[in-house]
Amino acid sequence: MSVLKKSLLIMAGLGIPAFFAGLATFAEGAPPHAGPITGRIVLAGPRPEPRELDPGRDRCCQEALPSDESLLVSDEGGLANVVIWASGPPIATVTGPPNLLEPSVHELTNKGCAFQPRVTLLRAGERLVLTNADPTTHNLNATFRKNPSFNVVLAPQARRELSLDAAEPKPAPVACNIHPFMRAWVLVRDDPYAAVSDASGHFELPAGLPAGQIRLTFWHEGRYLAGVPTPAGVTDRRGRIGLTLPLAEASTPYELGELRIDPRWFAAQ
Amino acid sequence: MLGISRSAAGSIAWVAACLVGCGPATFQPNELLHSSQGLTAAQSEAIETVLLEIFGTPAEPRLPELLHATIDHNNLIRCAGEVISHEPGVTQGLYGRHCARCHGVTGDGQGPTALYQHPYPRDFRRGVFKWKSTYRDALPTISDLHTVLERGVPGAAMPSFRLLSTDERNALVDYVVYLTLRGQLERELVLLSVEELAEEELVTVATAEPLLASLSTAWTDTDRLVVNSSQPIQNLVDANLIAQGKELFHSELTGCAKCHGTNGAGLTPNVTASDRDYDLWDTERREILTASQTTDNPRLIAAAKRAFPPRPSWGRELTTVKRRGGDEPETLFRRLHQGIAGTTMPALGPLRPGQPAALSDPQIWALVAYVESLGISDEPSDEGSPHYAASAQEVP
Repeated sequence: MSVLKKSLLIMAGLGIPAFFAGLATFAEGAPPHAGPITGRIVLAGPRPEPRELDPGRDRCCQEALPSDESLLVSDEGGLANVVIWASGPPIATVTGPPNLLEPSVHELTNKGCAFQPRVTLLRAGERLVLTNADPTTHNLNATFRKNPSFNVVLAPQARRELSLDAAEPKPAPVACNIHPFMRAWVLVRDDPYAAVSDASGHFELPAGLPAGQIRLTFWHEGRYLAGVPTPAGVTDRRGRIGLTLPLAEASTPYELGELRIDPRWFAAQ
Repeated sequence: MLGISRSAAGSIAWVAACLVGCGPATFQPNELLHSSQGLTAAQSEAIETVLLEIFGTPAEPRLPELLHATIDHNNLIRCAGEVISHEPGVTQGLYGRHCARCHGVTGDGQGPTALYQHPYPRDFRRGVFKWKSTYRDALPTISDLHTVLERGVPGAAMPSFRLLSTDERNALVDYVVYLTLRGQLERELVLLSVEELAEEELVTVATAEPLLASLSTAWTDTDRLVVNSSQPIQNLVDANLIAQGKELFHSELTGCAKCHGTNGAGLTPNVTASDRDYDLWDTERREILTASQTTDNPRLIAAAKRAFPPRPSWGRELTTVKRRGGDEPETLFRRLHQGIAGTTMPALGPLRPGQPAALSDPQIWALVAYVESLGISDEPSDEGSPHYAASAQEVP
């Protein structure tokens, strides 16, 4: 094992403090930037059969026939809705490119007795708009750790807008208790460096992170993705790896490549 | 199931033994939380040390200066320790005498009688209480805790403690706040350890103090977060108001009938896996128990074996049963306005005064009038929402 790989493994396994040491440089002056971080999450094995959902008593849901979206795998094995976010002290000083500083509005809608999107990413201070495109009442029960939790009724065509002002340590669950099979997740971060894997499993964290050592966390549907091999070591039990990002142009990504997950990991869900 | 019962019986015997005085009772760590968060033995020990330093033991409670504005130390002394009396009419160990057998020495809702109750007794440690007058995400006021002690929770095992003196109830309320703050701080320290600190960086009293300060402030702030109606109580027996409430109850504006049934008659409890739902406490328990099935962490496996089985929850039948949180119109108004904290019952009112809401205050009063009218006349009816399937009542 190369010295580099070994040190990255140590960092991934134990070593949050290991990279604290080299961080002071980022505080001085403008942080030198790295390119985007890209990769693809793949299920290394047969595609699981989606579970059947009981749409419950509501006619609207019985007609919409919502499907189980807790494990969405493409024909090519790509795993959707994995949330990846960067953290570590240097990022605390990052304000991000100007276009990311504009507070924007994110819509979380109820459609066909499913939340859309399944995962919403926001920056602290941005607004979350709750809407209901179904002809039936939904409620939205969100359990946050740093923001106030809420559980509100959302009538057909209703619109509620609220501001989420505090960064969360991980995605918060959103449920509809009238239709308990519905599920969504909301992650609020202080910085723009988070991403959700798309239908083919691809993800990209935007360029602009400080070059140097940062931590990436991989998470999926309420669980950290532990034990996933990456070029920077295996993710620890909290789904984390340590990365050393080089200085790069915004067009030059740091490629993590295909990250393959053992399907047994999902077996007991 | 047998495993759960046997191990639960073991823990019951243990708590019972501590209560009758085989040795000094100790505060128990929230083992399900510690183990499910993957804390190391050293991290857990550091948290226990901090909590001991700040809060003392069940026999010798400590009160940091930070909490003097919230809690009277003399009240803690009256509630703590074994039950004894040196003079007629004056009892020490009030919490052990009146509360611990259900709510547990630690306030974890896992006293020796808890497993046999439905619902389980309140676990104070999350700082979430159902029967209160404040906005959903706020703590209860001290007066709210008194109300529950005086009224009890009809339909649950919680009795009224009206026969105790006011002094004794004051003392017990302070002790409940003390146990709650201890549990809240424990949770904060566990999550801080795993989310923000490196594994070998252990918490100290200095780490805990700012967290405790913020938790304590939330307790002193609750009085300004009481929900008040923008208009006085309506004439709740007005037929038009009741009719308006009935229409709202069965409408898609509120969705009330989807959980409480047509005319509030209740629904068949949810039985299929994807239709089953849980409150805050049982959701966490259930998620941890699910995680324990695939873990190789012996500590989590052991904690899961001792855990109470999670129980599903569903909308209450409103026609015949007593309302657990009380029947007074103001109480019902607040319950419809903010829902019930920690449960599946959502809010119809705004998150804070002046913010948008699903219903206006007059509309909520109409619903109160209708709900109050249930039980007076509970003729079954075929009425319902047009979007409601005809097979609504036929779910097995």
